Amino acid sequence: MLVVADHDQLPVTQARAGDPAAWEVLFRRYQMPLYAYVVQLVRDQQASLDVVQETFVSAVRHIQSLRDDERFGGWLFGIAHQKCVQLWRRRDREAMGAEKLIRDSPEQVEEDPGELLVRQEQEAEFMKRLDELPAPHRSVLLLHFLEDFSLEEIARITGCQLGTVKSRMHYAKLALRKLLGKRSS
Amino acid sequence: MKSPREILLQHHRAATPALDRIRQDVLAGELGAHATTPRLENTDARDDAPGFALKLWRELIWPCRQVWAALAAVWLVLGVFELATRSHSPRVDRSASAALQTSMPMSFAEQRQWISELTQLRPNPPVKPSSGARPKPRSEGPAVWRTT
Repeated sequence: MLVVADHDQLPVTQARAGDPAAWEVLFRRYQMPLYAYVVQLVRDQQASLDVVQETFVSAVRHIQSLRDDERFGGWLFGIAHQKCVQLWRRRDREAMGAEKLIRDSPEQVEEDPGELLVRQEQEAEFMKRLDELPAPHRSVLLLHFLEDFSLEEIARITGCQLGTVKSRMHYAKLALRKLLGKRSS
Repeated sequence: MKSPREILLQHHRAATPALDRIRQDVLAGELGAHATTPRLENTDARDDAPGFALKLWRELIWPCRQVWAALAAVWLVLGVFELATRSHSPRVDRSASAALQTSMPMSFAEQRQWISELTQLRPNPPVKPSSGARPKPRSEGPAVWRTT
């Protein structure tokens, strides 16, 4: 099961007022999931650390643009996602693949809500198979795994249509299950 | 069995120190700068002055042979100069003091003689006795003075 901190307990209101202690709590809470998300997409540790830093800086500077305090996590991941997209554009590599994948994927597929759990001996294999997924599918899956964001929230973070997110999620889970199942059998 | 979240976070746990550093940097740079940093910077600069001097000593002066050689040369020159001046100065002082001891009583005697000669040659003029008339106020003076 996913264990995600209750958003109501996060001191977003105090952070809006510029309280450093509140920001400390927020950054502590999100630094590792954010880094895991970014590094799985970017595949470069140093660049990922830079993205996390830029995300934190942007969050502090533009906190007033956050409308709903309860959506702080999604808002923060949205900033990080945009930074990743900028990085991809600069590198001009994975973005090409991403565009192709968006075109090739089916638009409307029923979401499979089944929980995915991984056995200990499959952990390394899980990471490897996750890395093999195309970036857009990996992104959707990571947001679901790391913070249990809803499909609507993931659509907001990634700036995609809800249908696209659904199809990507389905495709990604299917692919991952297939890869892991094939390996275990 | 672990959830994908647990696996992902565990997989990247090694980045925690770097992330902690980034968090501290952002907090200090973005939030500390607005509130308290200027005052802290001043006190830090004041507090770091001995540390800076110590660092300067350790890194620049202590390991540098040229600095020590130059200092030694300066001290050597000063020492030679001091020795040279000391070897000359006692003689000068003794002769000067001897000359002073002999010349000072002479000069006093000469001065006394000159004074006595001068007083004898130009005696003070005799003081005229006063006429006894007291000075009158200006209003009682001659009429020429009261034209205006």
